[in-house]
Amino acid sequence: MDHDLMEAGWVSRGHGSIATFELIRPTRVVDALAAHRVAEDSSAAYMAGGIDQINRMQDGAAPDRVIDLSRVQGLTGISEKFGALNIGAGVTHHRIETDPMIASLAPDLAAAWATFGNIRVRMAGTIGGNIMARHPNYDGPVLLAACGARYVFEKPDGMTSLIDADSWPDVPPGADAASGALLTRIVIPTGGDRRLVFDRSLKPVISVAVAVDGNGGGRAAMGCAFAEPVCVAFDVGANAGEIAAEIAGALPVPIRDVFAGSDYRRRMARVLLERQITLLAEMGP
Amino acid sequence: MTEQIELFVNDEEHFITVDTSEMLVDVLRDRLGLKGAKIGCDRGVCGACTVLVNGDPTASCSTFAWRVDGARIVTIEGLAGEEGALDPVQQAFFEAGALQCGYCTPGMILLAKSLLARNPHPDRAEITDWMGANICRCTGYKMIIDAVEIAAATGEGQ
Repeated sequence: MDHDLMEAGWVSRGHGSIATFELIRPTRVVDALAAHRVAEDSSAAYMAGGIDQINRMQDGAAPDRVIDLSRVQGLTGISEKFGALNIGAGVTHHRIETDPMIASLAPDLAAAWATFGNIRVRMAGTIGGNIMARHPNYDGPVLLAACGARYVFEKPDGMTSLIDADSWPDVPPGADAASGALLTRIVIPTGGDRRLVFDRSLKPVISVAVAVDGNGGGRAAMGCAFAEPVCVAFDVGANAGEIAAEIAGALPVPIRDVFAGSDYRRRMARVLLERQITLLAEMGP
Repeated sequence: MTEQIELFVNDEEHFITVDTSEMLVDVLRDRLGLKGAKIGCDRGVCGACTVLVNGDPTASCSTFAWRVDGARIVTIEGLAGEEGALDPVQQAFFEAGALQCGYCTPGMILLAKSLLARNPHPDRAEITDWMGANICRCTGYKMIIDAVEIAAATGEGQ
């Protein structure tokens, strides 16, 4: 690539500007974890679908080693176990929207997942990549937090760690990458007559997912409005307007950007929450 | 650092040594001379670089070449029939006037092929949703959707 042309703006900054790297293509999780261990002055990155990793590299990230996860066994399974869906981190968005088991056990989740991005993105992107990208506007972590999902990580020391989706924002971005831990699957409870609704019509201002269960418990998760999704638990009993006002009033200060101010985002959180809680009540158990 | 890969592009086998950082679109355009895949946004957003990888519409500007080792790839050049006869989807785009500057057209046609291969008779809403993956800077979306409807009606678009 002619860097003079790039400097002059005649060529996209991203095009051809990715530095060469060592490629590792393991077939087992243990080998992927081992490959992530590099010398202190080197860096390594996992790559699943590649959408975000390539964007990061086009933006200047230059890992010395890239570990391609597409051949790793066990990352693309979908199964049901003990009342929960287990979705491999390497499962694509398109499979989530079309898989018969997910359609049977969590049709509302499959329907919400079908609204992500576009068909090219959904065929390449993975649920694990969506989580690990930690992009404030991505929908996966919002939906998974509302569903009470848990993320399963395999660590280089051989241990397995479980992280609740709604506490995932507490893990500092980069800490997971630095540790070399690998997200292998996502566990999503399917019992309890859970119903889920998702509204992304106001993206990139705010997105809201609300789930309620048959025992009167509810969870509301909001994306786009904060650096990471915010998830709040509530009791379904009260009036929808009151619940929405209480949740919206207690939210941390939403971000302010070219799309909307903080007050508008908070107001829209209340509006969408009331609308969705009302909708869930009308849907009935 | 390099990788040796094997590609089946428009039914022709190629053994190529690529740098690990090399994108599929650059292999197609610069190594194989297949200029139909365009570089637009270079971020996998606009879809001008769309090719079919094992039947899936894929942004070749944001796909490392090594990632498609062993894959069957179809570019717009691969659609032509005997003596350059147009593919039914190309013919439908022609009939509907579904191109202005033409920059997005190869990607649009391949995206439409991937839809019709899965669903030979999509309704207009399905077509609109699927074709929404690619961007036409001339904003000729109505004619593009019309064209896919025409191709679907012929039943030969897949």
